[in-house]
Amino acid sequence: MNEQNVPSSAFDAWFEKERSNGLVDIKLAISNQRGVSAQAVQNEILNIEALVQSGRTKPLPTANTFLSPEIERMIGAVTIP
Amino acid sequence: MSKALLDYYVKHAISTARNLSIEVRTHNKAPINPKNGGHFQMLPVYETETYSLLKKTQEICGTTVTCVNTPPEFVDAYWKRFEIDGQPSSELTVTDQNYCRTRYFVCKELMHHYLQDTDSATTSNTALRTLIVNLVKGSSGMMENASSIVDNAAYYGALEYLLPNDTMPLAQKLFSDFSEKEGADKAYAIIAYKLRIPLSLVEYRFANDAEFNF
Repeated sequence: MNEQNVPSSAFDAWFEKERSNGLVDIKLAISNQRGVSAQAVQNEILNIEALVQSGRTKPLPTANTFLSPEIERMIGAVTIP
Repeated sequence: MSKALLDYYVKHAISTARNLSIEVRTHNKAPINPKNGGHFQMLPVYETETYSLLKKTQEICGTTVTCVNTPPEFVDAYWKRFEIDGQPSSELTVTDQNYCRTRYFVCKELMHHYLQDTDSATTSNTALRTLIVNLVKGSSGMMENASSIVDNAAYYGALEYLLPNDTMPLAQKLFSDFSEKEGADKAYAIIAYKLRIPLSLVEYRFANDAEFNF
């Protein structure tokens, strides 16, 4: 571990633990909101990880509302050359 | 330098997603270059009743998708790639959102399976901190490192997958027809609803056709 990788927070410690478990890459989808800090994002990731560990998960959402039959009929009637 | 790198990765992401959308549709016997509205269908991301991007990804890499029982504050989703004794696997986590947004974020994160390389991997806590800071800043054109650029490029890949370039002529005809009857806002909404993608993405795709048209 070089100097840059010394854990300095709970988030860093979590990341190092993931690395020791074989993590080789991580990517994120973060909503851009004015004023959000990197620390807030890190805390939320830790919270999400805790939720997963405690089994507080749910099925992925599925469609539960649909276009009206009239709109569907109009879509179906459209053609292009 | 970063602009050139961004352009490279965005084109790479779009081209990759284009091929993936063709592969998934071919597997499902869905038409490429659809010509009539009956073939204007959503592209499966994780839906279980058909071949999907998730199923395709699971064929090449053990992949799990977990939805946590809480809405996002800032974090919509994240993707972790592991390698143990040379065997790759990945974990994708998404926060509790509506169907269309979940499809989009799962799609975006799945794109990383096909875009990942050693240059763009996030491999240290310093690199991860930089990635988060750059994503929070949200201005991809100013980003200097490959990890942040690839993370943003994946959004373009997701949009191409969900609304492929070959489907745009039919989407534009639908938009034109519905705009006349219902107005532009309703026309965008109908397309978004039909394809099960966020409305803002449809509007972005129509407003930025040139970025995808190659």
